[in-house]
Amino acid sequence: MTTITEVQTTQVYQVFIKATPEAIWDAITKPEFTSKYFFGSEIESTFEPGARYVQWAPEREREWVEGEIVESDPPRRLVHTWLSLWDDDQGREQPSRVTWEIDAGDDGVSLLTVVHDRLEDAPKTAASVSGGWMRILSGLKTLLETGEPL
Amino acid sequence: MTTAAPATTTQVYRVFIKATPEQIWEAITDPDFTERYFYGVRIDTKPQIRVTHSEGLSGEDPVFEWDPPKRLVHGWRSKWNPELSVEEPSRVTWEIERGEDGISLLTVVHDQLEGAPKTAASVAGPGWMRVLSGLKTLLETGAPMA
Repeated sequence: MTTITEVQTTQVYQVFIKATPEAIWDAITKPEFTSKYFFGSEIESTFEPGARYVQWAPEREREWVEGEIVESDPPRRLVHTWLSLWDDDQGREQPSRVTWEIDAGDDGVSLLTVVHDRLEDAPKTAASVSGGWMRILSGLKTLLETGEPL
Repeated sequence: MTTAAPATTTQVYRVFIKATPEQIWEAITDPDFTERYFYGVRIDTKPQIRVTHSEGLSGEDPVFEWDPPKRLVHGWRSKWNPELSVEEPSRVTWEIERGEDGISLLTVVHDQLEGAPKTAASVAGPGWMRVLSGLKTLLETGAPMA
């Protein structure tokens, strides 16, 4: 396919998960969880504002994603910048931004919202991640609800 | 470049489910399944017609395409709310793609919403994603999400 479709510079993804905000926060911030739904990638960060955010390739062969923590308010909100390093062309683009928001429901079901924005100067990243985020969120939900990877 | 508006006239939602296309098709078309994830509504979908029942309210919408277990297209009117139900009908397309790893991709496109702005706002974002999240939970765990 050579057709170029419009890729949005603000991308919003949502999923409802039968889990507490604390459980979802752990799944987002701990490498033993991320390796089971984030394309095998382990996360590394102290999650202090200004700290580095890294998503390692499996076996820590290389960095897939690099960024910086902008905001961290467990278990509700995490904001970090995003530079895709798994592809050289994307690695030369400008960093974009990812915001994770967790809203507790009254029925034991939480809403997880991921906003990937500031993609105006990262069109290749925008196109690349648009097919990946729902796979990640679907896998995160399955892992928390069944204990098994998707 | 546009950014996502709160209620666009073409809305696209996706979820990956550990289930076969046949199981997903049954969960979409059989009222015994839909009442456990679709806001309690019993939805009976047949090749020509989609019948909904909920708390004394019932309605019928046309089915435009019926291609099990891959593609279902039907009309949509929001019968649960008088302000919404008088709007123009819109359209919902369900597409199911089989993956190579036992995981299927379900895509819902709700479009032709130009004449139904209140419906567009009502179903947007969490509206549809609660349905798709509940459908995934039901198929993967055997129990409703809530």
